[in-house]
Amino acid sequence: MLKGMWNRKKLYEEAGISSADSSSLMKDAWKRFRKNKAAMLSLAVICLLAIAAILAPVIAPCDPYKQDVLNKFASPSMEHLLGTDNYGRDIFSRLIYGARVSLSVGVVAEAIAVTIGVIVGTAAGYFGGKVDTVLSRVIEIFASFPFILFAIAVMFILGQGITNVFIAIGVIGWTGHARLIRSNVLQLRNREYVEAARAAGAGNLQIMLRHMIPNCLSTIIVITTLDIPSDIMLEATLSFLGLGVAPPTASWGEMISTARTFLRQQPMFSIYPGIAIMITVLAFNTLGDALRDALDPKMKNR
Amino acid sequence: MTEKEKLLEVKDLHTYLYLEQGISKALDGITFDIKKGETLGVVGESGCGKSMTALSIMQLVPDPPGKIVSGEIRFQGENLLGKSKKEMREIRGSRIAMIFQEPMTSLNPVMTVGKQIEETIRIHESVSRAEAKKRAIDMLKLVKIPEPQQRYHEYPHQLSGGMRQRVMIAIALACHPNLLICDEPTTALDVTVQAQILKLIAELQKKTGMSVMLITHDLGVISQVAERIIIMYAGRIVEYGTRQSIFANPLHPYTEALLKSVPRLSDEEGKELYMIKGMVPDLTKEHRGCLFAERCPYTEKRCLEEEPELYDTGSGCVCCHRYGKRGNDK
Amino acid sequence: MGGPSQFFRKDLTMLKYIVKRCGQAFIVLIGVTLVTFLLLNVIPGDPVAVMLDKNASPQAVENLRHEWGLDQPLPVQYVNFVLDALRGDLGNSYFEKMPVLDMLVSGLKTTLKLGGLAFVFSAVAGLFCGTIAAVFHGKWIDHFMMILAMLGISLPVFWIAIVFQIIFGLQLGLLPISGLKSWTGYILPTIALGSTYAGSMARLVRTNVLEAISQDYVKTARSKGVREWAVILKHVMRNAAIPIVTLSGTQIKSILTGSMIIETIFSISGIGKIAINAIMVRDIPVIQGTVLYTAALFVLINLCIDLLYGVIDPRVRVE
Repeated sequence: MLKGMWNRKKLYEEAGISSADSSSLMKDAWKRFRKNKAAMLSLAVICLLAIAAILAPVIAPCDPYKQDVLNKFASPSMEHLLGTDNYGRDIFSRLIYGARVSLSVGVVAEAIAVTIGVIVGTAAGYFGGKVDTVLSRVIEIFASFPFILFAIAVMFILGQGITNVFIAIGVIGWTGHARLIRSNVLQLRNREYVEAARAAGAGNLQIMLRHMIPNCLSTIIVITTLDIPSDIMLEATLSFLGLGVAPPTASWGEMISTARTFLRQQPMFSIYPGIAIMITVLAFNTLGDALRDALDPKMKNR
Repeated sequence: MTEKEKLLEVKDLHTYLYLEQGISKALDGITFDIKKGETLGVVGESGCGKSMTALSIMQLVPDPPGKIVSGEIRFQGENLLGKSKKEMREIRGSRIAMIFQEPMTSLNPVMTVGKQIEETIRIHESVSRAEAKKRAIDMLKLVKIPEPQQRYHEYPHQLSGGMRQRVMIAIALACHPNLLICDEPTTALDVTVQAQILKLIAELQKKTGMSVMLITHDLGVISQVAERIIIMYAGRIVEYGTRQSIFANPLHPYTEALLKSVPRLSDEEGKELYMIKGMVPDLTKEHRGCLFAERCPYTEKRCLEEEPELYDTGSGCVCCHRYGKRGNDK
Repeated sequence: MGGPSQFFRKDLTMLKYIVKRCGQAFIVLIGVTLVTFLLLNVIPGDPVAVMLDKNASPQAVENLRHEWGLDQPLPVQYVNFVLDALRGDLGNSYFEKMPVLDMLVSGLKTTLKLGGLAFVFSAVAGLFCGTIAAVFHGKWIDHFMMILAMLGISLPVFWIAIVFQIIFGLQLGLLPISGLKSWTGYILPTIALGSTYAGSMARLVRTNVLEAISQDYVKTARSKGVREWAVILKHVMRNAAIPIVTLSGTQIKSILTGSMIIETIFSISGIGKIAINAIMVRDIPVIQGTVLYTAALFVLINLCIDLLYGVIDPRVRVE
């Protein structure tokens, strides 16, 4: 069973199977990706979540903010699919609105992190020498702070609110990206086409934009997808601690936090948002894994 | 026939790979033998089943997807295919040893070379730590590594490619095997180093009297050391014979083509190197006729329809219709 | 073993590596203090105003500012801050009226105990599950382990903790759901905290073992006649260990941060609970102290990991 693993490529050669394929890299990747059933499923789940988040006002059966004190902790019914919370608000509708917060954090905070990460990483890898030494230390400094504690401190300084959540998460989440891009660019820097571009009179900025970043694209796509779930998780954690979005905005983390107070009255109340987080995170993780396998079969776990 | 005792006999060996694309007949009925003390060369393009032959003998065919389907491998009179895993393990490294193509990656990067030699000794013989160490250093001396005392403590990354291949040889020979299988031992090395390694193997062979099975795609390498040569193509043996007969009088069109594609110093300037046209056939597909027919300059109608058999030529065998009597072979 | 010159040579590369790495860590440490200092100095609102009554006399405010050195220019404040931090003087908590250092030390003890347990749990579970999954690659047990691991990764730590509290505490009444009064109190927080990291550990171990198994040197080992379990332990695991050690570093750090949430949920007075409480009540010296000290701890952990790297992988020392 173990012996099966070594050197598959050589094996295929040994078996006389030609591996030459003229179709382009992306097409190949897409072919590999489409074969992966779990990946297609997770993509569908993410699309569904995105639609739910965008169309929340249309889809949600009730107003997520409408309180109904007489109807606290209602059991699931036709009117309230998953029951009501401590203010008598419809849990199902709040879940749908919660997707808005989670997904927007995933997208915006990650965009901030990727932007910073790509800029710092490309600069460090491309220029090398002193620039690299300095930037590498800067990366290390930021990577030294406990992720959550730093985000908490930033939220504390900026105050609650979704914009601040974006900033808090984006500002600390870039270090891993920067490291990976840096090592990627380091490898690319000495390739012939870079020499050629330089010989043709291309400036540094041009080479970075035209040659370095496009060549790192598959890495960037993969790390972005794999990082979105941890951003979503971090938002949930911040909201759980009461340092995320400001109430009464519905967020899954905040819902779990509220539910915690009422474990005895309504234990299921805390279960639903957890499942929502799990599904979202699971979908992104699976998608990221599949993208990695499809785009760059050699890239290992970070 | 039996001037020398046979050390290894392979009879009608079939090793298949069960892949997603289908079953690939990596070895489709090969038969050959190695005599005591001789060097057998196995030649062919990559993908022809040379390495698979070696792995089948060692019973290290990756499973999945590979499986030895049928055949017989007799080593010193015993059938290896009937051995248990444990018995096989005891044979590997002690009676049959193997060295690989990539000295760069074939040594464990986190163990000192000394420890890696010692490991073989300590697996197969019950010797003390100190004794094993002494022998490991002796082995390093034997393969002519300078300053063996010091090299013993070094890691593979501190050695050059040639040195690493010497270490591989030291590991392989540590327990005095009867058969040494070398799978492309010089392919990854510089030309000058190649010659040194081949010379070393030949010297050690003379010293120990072991048999060597030398697998390569490089006819130049084979011409220096092998006494008998097997030419493989697409999982089959297409020709075998003595070195003299193969080089002086190649029979199979494939052997002929292989020889023609070796550059020679005597070639006129500007002469283009001969290339075998076409590609190795996909072994997962069913074939009719001769597997080489598509690339063969002598193809006739019969080649496309009937599979050729091995015909005895006196000095060896060849698998080609051109040498068989028409009609009544079977 | 070997001549003395051999040992000397080996030690020298290692020594060089250690010195270089320590130098880098020192620079990072300075950066960390700078960031912490700046971070806490941009907090809106005057800390003095927080301390004193709204209608305190301007004179009183001025006195306190002077007492805390807040009337000095920022660079001077920074140097004082670093010097104080080095002496272990992080000031007093505004609210607890005790030295921040004492609070941190007692909190850190608890956190390290809990985090250590959780790390051991996650490492053992992760190594075991990951190796099993790799060895039985493609079999049902592999799929099962990986689904389990994926679930562990995808569930929020705090949610797992709450579910544990509901099931084992409230429904079954088996285990305590708060505090660490007896050893049973450790069980739920440890497993809740460790499970996420066990998941990612298992996945990484699996990938690396699979990767290492496919290497040429494993073929060599098998051709030597090494037993299969010895191939895994001696040849595969040590090579697979290199990335695993790196992950362990990240893991320890994640567990320490994850511990903050777990401590809050299970009312364990570790450093996390102290930090979060401090943030809720705006106790700036405590916030500053926890951020600074955890970051310094992280720098130290990174350093240890890199040095360990040098021991496991001889190639790293040379570079």
